[in-house]
Amino acid sequence: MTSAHKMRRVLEVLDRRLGLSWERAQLVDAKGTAMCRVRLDRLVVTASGISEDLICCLPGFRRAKKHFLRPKHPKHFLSYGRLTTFETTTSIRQMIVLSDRRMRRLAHCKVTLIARDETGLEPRDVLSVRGLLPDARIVLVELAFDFGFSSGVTGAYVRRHALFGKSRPCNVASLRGYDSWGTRKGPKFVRSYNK
Amino acid sequence: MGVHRVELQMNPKFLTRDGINDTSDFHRLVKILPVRHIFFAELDEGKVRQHLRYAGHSAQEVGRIMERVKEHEGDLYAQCSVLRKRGRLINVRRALAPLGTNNLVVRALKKWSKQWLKTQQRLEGR
Repeated sequence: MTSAHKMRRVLEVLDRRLGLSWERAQLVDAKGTAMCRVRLDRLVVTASGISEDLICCLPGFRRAKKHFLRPKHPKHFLSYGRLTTFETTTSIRQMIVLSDRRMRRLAHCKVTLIARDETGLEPRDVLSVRGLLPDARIVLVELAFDFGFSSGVTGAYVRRHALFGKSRPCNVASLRGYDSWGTRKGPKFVRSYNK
Repeated sequence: MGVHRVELQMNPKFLTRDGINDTSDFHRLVKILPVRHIFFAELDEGKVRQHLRYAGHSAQEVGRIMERVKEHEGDLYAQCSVLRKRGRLINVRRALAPLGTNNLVVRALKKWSKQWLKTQQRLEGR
């Protein structure tokens, strides 16, 4: 086997492992998309109280689940004892409310807003929920930067050119079509994948 | 959706440090995020050589370090790491040339934050 053959073989293996041509093909299919769009993908808010009945009164909101949480193992610690899930017809795909805190230093409730992929969380929907939460404080923000085909940004491009502050590579070039930097418990966690 | 998504998850440590406690603080992300937390760049070979010479390396050593840097082509973190360790450069960012993608990010962030400001102002006006 000559060195050219070996190189080609290595490239093929890399392509299969990282899904380079697959990524390119996916992006070619979406030529008409915007160059770059920012969407709010997830928002976690703590508050000093919540009225679930008032949330049900918001247009398009429906309570889907309400139940107590049980630890899977007796040694596990649960920060909240109750979970309520709402489904909506707005830009909020799902709203999860954790209540019944198990420690005094925790906030009374924790609300997670998960966005629809196409729209992201829209200001008027978030603010309508925010209005019902006294002493609300944001504890997690997830921003999605969606790069269209015309911007030329792919997984390989991000690996080659992107720096995310002090966050170090976590899963880079080890999983197909997915890279991450930083840690989930650290100040910042970055993910890069095809959608 | 046919897009490549880069997701930035900002945890409480990040948010308290930069004072983002409410949705009304989102407009500040336009200044906080670009360059400092999301930056697209490539190594500028000329600048790298210049900084290596400033760090006191001989021409031969510079050539050797540049070879090591080229071995890590396609991985900016690894290239910067080589320059820090082998080249003894303290601020590697000085040797980077920013790419046009940064402008896309800033423009998109501005557009996004404007939406939040407008909605908030409209609600406050009522």
